[in-house]
Amino acid sequence: MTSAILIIVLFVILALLMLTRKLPTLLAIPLMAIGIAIIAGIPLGGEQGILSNIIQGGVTRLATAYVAVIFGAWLSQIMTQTGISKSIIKFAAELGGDRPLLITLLLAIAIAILFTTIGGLGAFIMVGSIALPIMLSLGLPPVSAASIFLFAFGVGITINLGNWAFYVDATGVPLEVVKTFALSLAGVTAVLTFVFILIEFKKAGIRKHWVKPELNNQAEVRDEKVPKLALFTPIVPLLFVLVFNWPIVPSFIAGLIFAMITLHKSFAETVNIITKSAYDGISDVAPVIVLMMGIGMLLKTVFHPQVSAIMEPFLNAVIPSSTIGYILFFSLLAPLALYRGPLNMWGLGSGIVGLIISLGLLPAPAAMSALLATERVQAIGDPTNTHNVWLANYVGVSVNDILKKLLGYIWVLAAIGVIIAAVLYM
Amino acid sequence: MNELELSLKELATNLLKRDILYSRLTHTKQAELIDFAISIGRKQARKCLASGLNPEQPELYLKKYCQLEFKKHPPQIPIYSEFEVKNNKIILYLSEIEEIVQGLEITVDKKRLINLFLLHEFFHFLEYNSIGPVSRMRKITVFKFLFLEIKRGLFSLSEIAAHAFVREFSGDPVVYINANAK
Repeated sequence: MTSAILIIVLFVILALLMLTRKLPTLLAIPLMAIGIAIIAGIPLGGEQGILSNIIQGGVTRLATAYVAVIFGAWLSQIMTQTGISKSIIKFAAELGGDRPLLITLLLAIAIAILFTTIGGLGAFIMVGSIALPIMLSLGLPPVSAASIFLFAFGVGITINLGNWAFYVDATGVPLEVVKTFALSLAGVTAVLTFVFILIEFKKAGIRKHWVKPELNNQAEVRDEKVPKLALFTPIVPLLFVLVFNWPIVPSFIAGLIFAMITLHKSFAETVNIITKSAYDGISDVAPVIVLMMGIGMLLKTVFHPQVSAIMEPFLNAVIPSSTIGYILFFSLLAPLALYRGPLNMWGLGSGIVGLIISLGLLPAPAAMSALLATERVQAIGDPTNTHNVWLANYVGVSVNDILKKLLGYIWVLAAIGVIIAAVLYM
Repeated sequence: MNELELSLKELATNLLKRDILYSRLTHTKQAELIDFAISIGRKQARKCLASGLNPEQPELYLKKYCQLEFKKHPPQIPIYSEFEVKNNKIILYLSEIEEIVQGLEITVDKKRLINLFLLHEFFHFLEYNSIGPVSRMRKITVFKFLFLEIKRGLFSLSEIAAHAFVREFSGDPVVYINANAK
């Protein structure tokens, strides 16, 4: 019992340190892994010890996932460096012409499609700095434009293959389960995004502006001429996974080959782009890989029989096993995914989900889906996300104003996700 | 260069260049669209003059049709003025408007400066209450595949027409707002 209390105290202390930004998640997670292991009395040496099992085994625990993330980042860089991403956004805006609502809807679709493949702050900034000025020039208030962007990003990121690899690797749930649930969740997110856009347009109404020259200068956007076929690049990996049931990494490679063939570059240029984008892609996701190494260590710790035995009585009392209890628990507590909280899979949540699965308190697909649903709150609205901070600065609003605008919607989104998960897996 | 110092054609070209559809326009099409938008703006200006609009005191005329609001605090996005279609309201951001004359080595007649923006936004009022959006009067093909063809209008045409509308009253705007040139 004392050990359980100490583990919870350590958990709360590290959560507070992360919340108050005294300690980055990157360091807090591995510290928690080792701290819990020490409290649980796991020996330093031996096959199941801290050195071999928690540290050595932990950093490679999510290797499959972070290799997938690397390939995703590689393709993402190819799309950035060759102008594919820019052209997709521009083409969407062109199709909208002079109709503000249509432009916004098409931009949202383009953003969602892009983020099924691309990722990282660099890609986010690149897409944001093209799409946001267009949205602002349509008369949308900055906080609405930023929120629409985040919602569309939320649709794409739900079916981002790199993330799927992480959920599969972290929870041991088959890709088929992640695929089914993520697609349902993306569908709900898309519907809510559409509703949100309609509401914001109704509120803002049509406005004509005498704008300053710096807003929406499209002359800066139109550079590269990208062949139309290359614009299908972001959906190629997704098609290979969904239609041909290919694993994630080969699907990314298929996307990469498709891009290079359809771009019609010379051999020398192709080689140059492939190598440069590989280096840039890996440096883009380096922080994510280090975070995943820490999460891998935490998973190794919470899956350790000694830790499971200590935490079982406590979690048995807290985690509901009935369907209604499951829905209420995860729906009501969904905002705990914010500020790197305990329901965030990319933080403390990975430890919680690991414990729930290792103790068999919930079926693994139900535990994974609940956390994936609550993670919508984090991915879209968390003020500690670097992409939220950049977005807020770019449009000149407070990051908390964006959260205030979005919280009601993303809470409902998480709750619907939990209900779907309950129907499918409880 | 300051927008007010540009000739109408130069300003129109700049506005067209900022349009998302600019890269789809040939040089001939650009010139044709600019001329078209300018002609609409000028025609409306002449109609307004005939119906009693006094360009020296446009407020009285404009107030018959729409609300006017002069805001001292800066807008949320980089704009000088706007027209809210839903409320038929013209909003001027005074702090931003004062910025536009920075760098012009003249003594500015502030009332005339305000007039430029009031008249500009009043043209947008006319678009949504009388003549229809100029942006939709000329469309270009944005997508064509087999029998499917999608055509769209250009936002910039509306702005070009609004500037032409204003300049029909003001002539060279720098001379117009120069307090010593009266």
